[in-house]
Amino acid sequence: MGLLYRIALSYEADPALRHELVQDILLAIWVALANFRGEASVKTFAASIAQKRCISHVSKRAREPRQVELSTDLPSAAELPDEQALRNDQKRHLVESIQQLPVPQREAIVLCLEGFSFGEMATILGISPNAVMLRCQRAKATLKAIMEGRS
Amino acid sequence: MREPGFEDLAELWQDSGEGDREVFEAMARRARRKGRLLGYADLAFVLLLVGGILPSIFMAPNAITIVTAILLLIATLWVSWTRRRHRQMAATLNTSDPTAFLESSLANARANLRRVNLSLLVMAPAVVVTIVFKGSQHSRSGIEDLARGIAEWASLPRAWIGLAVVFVLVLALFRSRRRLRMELRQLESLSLDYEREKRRDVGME
Repeated sequence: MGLLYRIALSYEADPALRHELVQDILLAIWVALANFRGEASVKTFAASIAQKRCISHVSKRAREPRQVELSTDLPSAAELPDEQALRNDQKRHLVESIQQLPVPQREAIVLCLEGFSFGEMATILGISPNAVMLRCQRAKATLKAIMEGRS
Repeated sequence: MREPGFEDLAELWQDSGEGDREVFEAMARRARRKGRLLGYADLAFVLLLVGGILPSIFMAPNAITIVTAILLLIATLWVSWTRRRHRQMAATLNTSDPTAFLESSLANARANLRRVNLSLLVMAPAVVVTIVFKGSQHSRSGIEDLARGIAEWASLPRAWIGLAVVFVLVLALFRSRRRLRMELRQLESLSLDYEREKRRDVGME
């Protein structure tokens, strides 16, 4: 559940459009389930569909995405308000930086952050595990540069 | 403040955008419902149009009505078949890799653009055929009386409602054409991004 939200989050900043995108992803998964042969895990299958729906979403978007303030999460009882505020700020910083990456690097870094193995990522991205590793390295470097540039 | 490492970023990332489980399950249910409804809507569309046209063939007062009704039947079946094929294509796109997906999306967008252009081209003769079809239903002796039949049909409010619907359809097609062109440009730009990234993957850049 969180995986689909987060993949959508990396492509759409507007909460209303993101909600529609998640709905669209779910519909695509439902339609594609008939073709699921169990060659990969359900998580890999769902992530693969979500990535492609997001690419479709990006290509169909009429205008450049609006930069909308990300909603702040409810403060956790375990954390002090200052720490929570700092963490929310870091989250926003990270998400906005990811949204600036070129799409091929963005999909690689999101899968990396989600903890997919290079093998699983290779299945989703349709490239060799070696190429996945290289792409992730480049994506990490670009992300670092964007985050440093923003701060 | 220490600079966050990748593990910290992953933890931060996985803590973002977590939605409400109930909302998510409601969305999943809605998606299933929408998927089924789309299938039923397609079937209802065909049944409605075929059901509306077929009786006029059997109760046809003349040859023109029969010919135009058959033309409209063929057009209806063609449109429905194209829609079904398009949906099946969209479903199979989900299981391919991003490059194949982009290529298919590009082919799809080009095909859609061609379809919209074709629809715009076909629209004018289709309107003429429909007017002749409706006029022929109002004429008593076929071709000789056709002009009077058309005039009689044109005096009905439903004729103007029908023409207004066609006008709205033409506007929608132009809007769709503009969107598809934009989508095609975006897809081509994405495709170039992937090409560049692929060259870098194999160390060619």
